Amino acid sequence: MDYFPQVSTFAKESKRVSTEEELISLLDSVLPKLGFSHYALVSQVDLTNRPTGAVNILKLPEDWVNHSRSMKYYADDPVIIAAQHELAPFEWEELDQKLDLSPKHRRLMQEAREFGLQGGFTVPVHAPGVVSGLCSFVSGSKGIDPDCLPAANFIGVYAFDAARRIAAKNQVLNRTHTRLTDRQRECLIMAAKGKSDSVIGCILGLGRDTVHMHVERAKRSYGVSSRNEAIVRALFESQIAYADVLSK
Amino acid sequence: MTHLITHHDAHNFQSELNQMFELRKQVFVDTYKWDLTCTDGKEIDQFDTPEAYYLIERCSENGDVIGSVRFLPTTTPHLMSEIFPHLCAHDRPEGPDVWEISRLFCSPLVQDRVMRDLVRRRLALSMIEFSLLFGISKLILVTHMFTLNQLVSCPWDVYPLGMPVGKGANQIAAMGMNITPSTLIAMRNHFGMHEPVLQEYQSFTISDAA
Repeated sequence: MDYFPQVSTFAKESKRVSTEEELISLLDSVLPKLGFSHYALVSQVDLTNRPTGAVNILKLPEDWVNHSRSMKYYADDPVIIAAQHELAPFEWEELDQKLDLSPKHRRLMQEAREFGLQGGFTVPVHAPGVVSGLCSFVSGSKGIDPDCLPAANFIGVYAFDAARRIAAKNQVLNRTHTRLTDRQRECLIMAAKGKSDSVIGCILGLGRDTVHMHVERAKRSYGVSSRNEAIVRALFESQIAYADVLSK
Repeated sequence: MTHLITHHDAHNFQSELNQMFELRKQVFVDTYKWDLTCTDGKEIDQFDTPEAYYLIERCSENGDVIGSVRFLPTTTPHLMSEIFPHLCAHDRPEGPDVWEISRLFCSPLVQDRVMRDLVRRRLALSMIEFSLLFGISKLILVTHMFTLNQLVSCPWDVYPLGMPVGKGANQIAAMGMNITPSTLIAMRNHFGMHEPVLQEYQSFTISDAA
């Protein structure tokens, strides 16, 4: 079966989509032709506390999503773990060649199978300086047509690129994402430069406890428990810039 | 500094060309382990003819070659016609306005990641500037599937010409890229680099392109 027409169409259309809905519509129209019924496009970030700008487009059986969320499966998902260090795409059947699968991993894969999640193919997406991600396609119990894998590879790369582009655009447009106050920004920038609360207080003309409060509030805005994490989030969401942190 | 070397002025740039051929061996043969022939520590193939044009990136401090990409016209033998015709699903793009790029690299001596990114960005921008100067409307190339993601993530119009061939690390695909003035604008915005990159040298003037 020649899958080039699907690849060609997808490549062209994926550059045109500008919203998640349009991308989902495109995936829904092309992927069934390759025998895939479900998919997941995900950035390699903590999905329970996802920074805005991260990719998270899922078409998975809803009861699986609820089940895995309640079981907090993300940490144990061998597909996600393998995608972190694999460069080449892989079939889920090959997972035991990519990873030492623990009983927990095997249990997760078995439970996923019971929810219809088998016959999967994952395209890891890595680029220097950018948060990694993955694009998984699921064919279900009927299995994957091996001829469609090169096409799935192409489509996965173009799809993830579109998803990332859309997420970045939404990050800019989305007024409800974490907004630090000016003071919180200033304190975080100083903290990122390695300054203690007392030193930050001296520089900004604030008391040490006030600085501490600003940093705590920033942490709470991001839902994180350390100031390092708050700094990283602020950088990821462009609330503070490397230029701010690295300048004198 | 980025500039073009053609057969017109190759004699003035023999040292730079030699550096480029030596670096090609270090990158493509020693590091990537491609099956290419080398002589005298240099990687030169049957397409390095007077028809080939080279964009060279040089270190601004000492003039050493730190990156390069080769342009071949599709009106004479090139990689896609001689070695990879099977990678194209339909008619192979060719014509006086279609050129093929190959052997793009950044020198292994440049180890700083930011600098390596900069070299690649300058090569990408100069490729587009050169294409626009020369009336090239389409570029074709063969890419490893591993680096497809980096190619696709730039805002140029790059699309598959056929299905990938090969397995694992050796999986490659033919791609086409349409070049228009808006490509240059989009890429300059994407990189945040708004100055022209390609420099004019005495031996090459815009009128040579005509």
